[in-house]
Amino acid sequence: MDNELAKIFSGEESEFVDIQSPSPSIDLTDFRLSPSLVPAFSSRSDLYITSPISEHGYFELQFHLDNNFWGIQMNFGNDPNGLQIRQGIAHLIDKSAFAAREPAISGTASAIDNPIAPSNGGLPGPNPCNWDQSFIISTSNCVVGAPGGTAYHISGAAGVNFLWQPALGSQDFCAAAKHFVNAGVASGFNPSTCVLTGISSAAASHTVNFFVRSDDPARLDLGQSMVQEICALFTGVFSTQCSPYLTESEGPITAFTGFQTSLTSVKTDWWIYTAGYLFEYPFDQSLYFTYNSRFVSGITSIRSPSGPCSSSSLPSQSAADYMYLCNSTYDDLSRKMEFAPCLSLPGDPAPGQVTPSFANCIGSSGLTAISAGYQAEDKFGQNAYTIPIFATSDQYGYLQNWQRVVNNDGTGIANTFTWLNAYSPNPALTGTIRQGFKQSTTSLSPYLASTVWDFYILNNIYDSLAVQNPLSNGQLIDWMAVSSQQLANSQLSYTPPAGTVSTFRYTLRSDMFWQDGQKVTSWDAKFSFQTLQSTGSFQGAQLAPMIGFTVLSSVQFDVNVNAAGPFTKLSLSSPTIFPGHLWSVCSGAIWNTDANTGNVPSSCMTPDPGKLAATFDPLASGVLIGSGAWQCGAISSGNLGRACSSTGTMNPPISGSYSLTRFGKGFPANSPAFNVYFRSAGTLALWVWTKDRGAFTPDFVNFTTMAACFNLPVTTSAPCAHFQSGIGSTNGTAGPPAPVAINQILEVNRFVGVNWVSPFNWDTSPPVGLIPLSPVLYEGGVTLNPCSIDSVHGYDC
Amino acid sequence: MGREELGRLRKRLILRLLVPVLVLLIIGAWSTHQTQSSARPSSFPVQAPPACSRVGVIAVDPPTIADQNLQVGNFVTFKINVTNSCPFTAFAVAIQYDLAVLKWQSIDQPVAMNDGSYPGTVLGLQAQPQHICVDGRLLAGLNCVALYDTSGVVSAALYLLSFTPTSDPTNGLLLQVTFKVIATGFSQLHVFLGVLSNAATGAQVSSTTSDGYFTNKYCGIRLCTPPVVNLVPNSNPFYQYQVATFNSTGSRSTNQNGFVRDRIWAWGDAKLGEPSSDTINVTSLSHIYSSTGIFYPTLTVIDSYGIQASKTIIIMVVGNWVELSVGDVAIDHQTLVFPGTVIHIHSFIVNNSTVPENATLVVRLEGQILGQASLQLKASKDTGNVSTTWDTTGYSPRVYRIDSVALPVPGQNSTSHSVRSSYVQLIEPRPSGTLSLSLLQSSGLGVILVAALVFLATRLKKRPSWETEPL
Repeated sequence: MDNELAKIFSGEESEFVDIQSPSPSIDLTDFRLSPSLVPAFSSRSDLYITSPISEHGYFELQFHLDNNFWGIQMNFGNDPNGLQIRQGIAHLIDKSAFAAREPAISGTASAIDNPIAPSNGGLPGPNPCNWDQSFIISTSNCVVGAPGGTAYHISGAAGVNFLWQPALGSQDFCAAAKHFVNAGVASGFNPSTCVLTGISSAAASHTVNFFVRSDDPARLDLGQSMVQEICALFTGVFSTQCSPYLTESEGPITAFTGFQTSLTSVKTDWWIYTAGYLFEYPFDQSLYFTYNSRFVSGITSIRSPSGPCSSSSLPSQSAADYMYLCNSTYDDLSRKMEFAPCLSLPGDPAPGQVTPSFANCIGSSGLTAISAGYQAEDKFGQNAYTIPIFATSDQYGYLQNWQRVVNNDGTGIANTFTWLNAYSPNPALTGTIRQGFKQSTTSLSPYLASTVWDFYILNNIYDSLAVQNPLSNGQLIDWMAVSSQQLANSQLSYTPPAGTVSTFRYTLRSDMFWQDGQKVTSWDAKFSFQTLQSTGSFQGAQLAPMIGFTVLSSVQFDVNVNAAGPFTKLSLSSPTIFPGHLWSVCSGAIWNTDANTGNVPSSCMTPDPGKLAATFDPLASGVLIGSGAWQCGAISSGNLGRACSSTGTMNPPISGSYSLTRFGKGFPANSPAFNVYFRSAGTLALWVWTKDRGAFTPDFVNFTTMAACFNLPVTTSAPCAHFQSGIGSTNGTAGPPAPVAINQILEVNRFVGVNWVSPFNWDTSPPVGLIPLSPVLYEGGVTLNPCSIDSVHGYDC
Repeated sequence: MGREELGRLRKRLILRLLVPVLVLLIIGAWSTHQTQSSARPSSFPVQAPPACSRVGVIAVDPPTIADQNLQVGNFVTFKINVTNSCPFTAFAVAIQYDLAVLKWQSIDQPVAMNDGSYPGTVLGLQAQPQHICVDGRLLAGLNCVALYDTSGVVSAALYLLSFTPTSDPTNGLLLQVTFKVIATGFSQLHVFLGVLSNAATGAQVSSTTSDGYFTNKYCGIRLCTPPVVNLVPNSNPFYQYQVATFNSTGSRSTNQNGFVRDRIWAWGDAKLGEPSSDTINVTSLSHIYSSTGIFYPTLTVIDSYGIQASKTIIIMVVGNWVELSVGDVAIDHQTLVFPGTVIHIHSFIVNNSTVPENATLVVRLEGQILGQASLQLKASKDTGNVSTTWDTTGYSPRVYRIDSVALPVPGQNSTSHSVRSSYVQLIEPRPSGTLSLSLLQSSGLGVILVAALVFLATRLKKRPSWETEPL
């Protein structure tokens, strides 16, 4: 499609109402359908509903672990009385009942006890039965891989205002009271109701606020029910406010202040939050990249040795560990998991074991990632750093006049591959795919973006070195890179930075251009990686092991790392690459001159300070320019990088929208590389036509054979006939055949050694779910048929 | 960035792309002239060239420059020649050298003439550069090769805009490079890629490669010499997803009292999440290729003096059909079985793959494993089996499903026949005092009775009770 319109809603409910209306304003939704809507969508001929997927995400209650709760300072999760409070709150919900009976998720959700999705890449949950040393559980569920809802749960809830609420005097309610007494919040509790008595004066003077997300009915009910439980603990009344002990705030994601961390202090403006995560695959994404204190906003006073947080943490405005969890034992375990010498072995913890076994990698004293991950989970659960609640199996709805919508393994239909591939012969809005956003963005700065919706937009405009196969997230496919290798130090032709244990070498596609026409180079990647890391950005967390970035040529570079494990390549390959000439302290003219002469100095690898400000708006400033499939504004309109929201600024409000334009709109499908997206449908057709497939030797033989066809008369015989027609030929698919000219030689040469799906092979071992060659392709309003369908005008004839 | 600047930017890009285009257009016009004057036939396919089966040699010349007097600041020049080759219209060569000892100084041939051509090689006056790269930097052509052009590599690939190949046999220069000596040491000149292509056949021309080296360093009492490197695949082609083993027996140091200190095995593929090489000093090592195609695995041997040499071989990894099917399943009692009967189950597995497989066959009773076996099956229809029993004592009367499952193996192409389900019907036990169950079941009379019951049930058109059970 030529245009993408992202419309902002107040929540998924209003989005669902819209798409079911007689004249919907969106074509696709971005959030799982509530179970009650599934039958309605299924019965409508104008709506499609996807098959269920196990979401790569989860929902939990989070605590600000350096805030004061009723007089108890949490001390980054390390205060024993703080632990008592968290364990007490953990008893105040029957998660299994919540998952089964909350209307918004009933039948599709499962309770969880660990901060990972059930579909996580193979990590089983620990036996949680002794996590609460005050109330040790003994049931048949007390095994490795215990069902969710086992932890901190003594008996089924009778229900109060919500069906999953433990009642006054129930075993779990009383367990919570006991923990609060242990913490010193109160001196005792009523023996029959277990309502606290003798509440400390400090509790009254340190009010806790519970921020409840209002845009998600399940989380709204979860938050409200928990507020009622805590209030009942203090007052005996299941109320939604019980000041001075607890207040409640409700709002959308943009109203939650926790994501914006401070560069100079620990900002303590929230206490408890109903959090949710998506794109959490594999399991290290949460266990390491979210909760390891390497990713806290590391101001000096809290970093080791002054404080308990990692000495490697950096001050950040969008820290992933905004909960301020800083525990050295947990850090050590999760780091061992992240950089384990291997992923798994048969001796790892296995479901059904009462006592887990652990395995070291062969030839190493290091645990496998699964064994170390299990221990990290166990430590996390014992300390109830958060209270994981539920995960879901999702179905999504969209209008039935759309084809090639990609139902991502784990994240559903709202993803870059859908926006890249989806096609409708009769869209409601000409040439436009209309995507619903249940929430607005919080920032479009690559340094500050942190929410799902931020990255929905950013990943349309910017690309990354590799992508996860949307239909099998365990498969990583080179994207901006045309090849990638992991090298030992002995394989390097230079002395790497001290501490380097391994190096990842990437070679970029040489036909990539920024949407403003400048070429994408290794220095752009260096600038992006180094500045994302040095600013402590949310994305930069993925670059944690990087200790050096060595440019080898304009399209080849090394990322030197001080630790490498099974997940390292995935994490290094995921940050967005953005243009140095628009973000560097060096001006665009200087940067471009340096890049064209083959050396951008280190002094340019610093961001323009003004563009790091929390309020910086790249859209309003006109620098929202990437190399991706979609662009903001257009060169031809004189507004590239700036004119793509209803307000002219980022983060449009409810009912506002983003409006993106296809990179290459207005140009023919076989246009030169600097005019179109390097992975456009037309470029793919051209790649297929060239017969290059990515292995140098056969591609070189193919190229040199076709080059011999130069200027020869039109023929019907191989090998020249092929290159005299088709999308790459002089007359394109419109024909008639014409002699091979210089453009055809350049086109075939362009793709020598280029494998579109590296390191897979499209013909013989394709990524899971990939359509076989040669597919029908759509670009803008043009349909590109293969020769198997149109033997005269097919693109690969 | 203003619009004017953008305009200039676009112009620069267009010029950058147009310059080689214009050069080629000039040559194209000339080439057309040549084509006409040489009366090349205008129809295709071109006449098949005479068959040629020689294997050309792409070799470093001289193979050795060993001189202690060539210290820092001196220059050394190496040629890459081809000898005794069948005709070709294009070539690509890539050599690897040690950046710590030598620094690239100049490419002496091929070099560009003012008209944009690259004469000076065996391809003659009309040669065009597909790429010429040094240390990963592009000097001519369009792109360096992602998989191998990097620091410490000089590569050149030239081609003709013509189906007319070089003479038969072909002998001559492919590449000439001059290096500056920057340290005392040893550098192999390793030809790790040598491709000759003939457009007239649309195929690669057979060739082998031969390396050279430079040294100005003593290893003991003599100037250093490279280790002998042997790299032998235990099969060629290999199969995708199967273990590929390589042997380096015979690799040794050639220096005084030297020994092999380390071996670096570079597999030639980029396997995600794992190093594409292993550094381990063993004489034999295995790797699994997950893609098909032609690969260039390289073994680098480092001796106790730190002198290293590499050998690159060409292997082919071919796709294969991988399918494990469950064959016959024999169950001695299936219908009208009384609880307490011991049922014997024999399940067979068939390897329909084109390669041997380590298969696992599992027999499950509605999820409960009754028996399993790991079987090494040869390619093409080899079979194995699992024999097991099920004691039905204590099981309530109903229909039970027994699955024979061939567990999936890596790269399996089809799983459509990997599960076969059978059913056993348990019925209410007879009241005590009647004919013994086991006797009935195990005797010929039992068989007759069962057959009679089944026949009766069929004749009366009454649905058997087990049909209502979930299947």
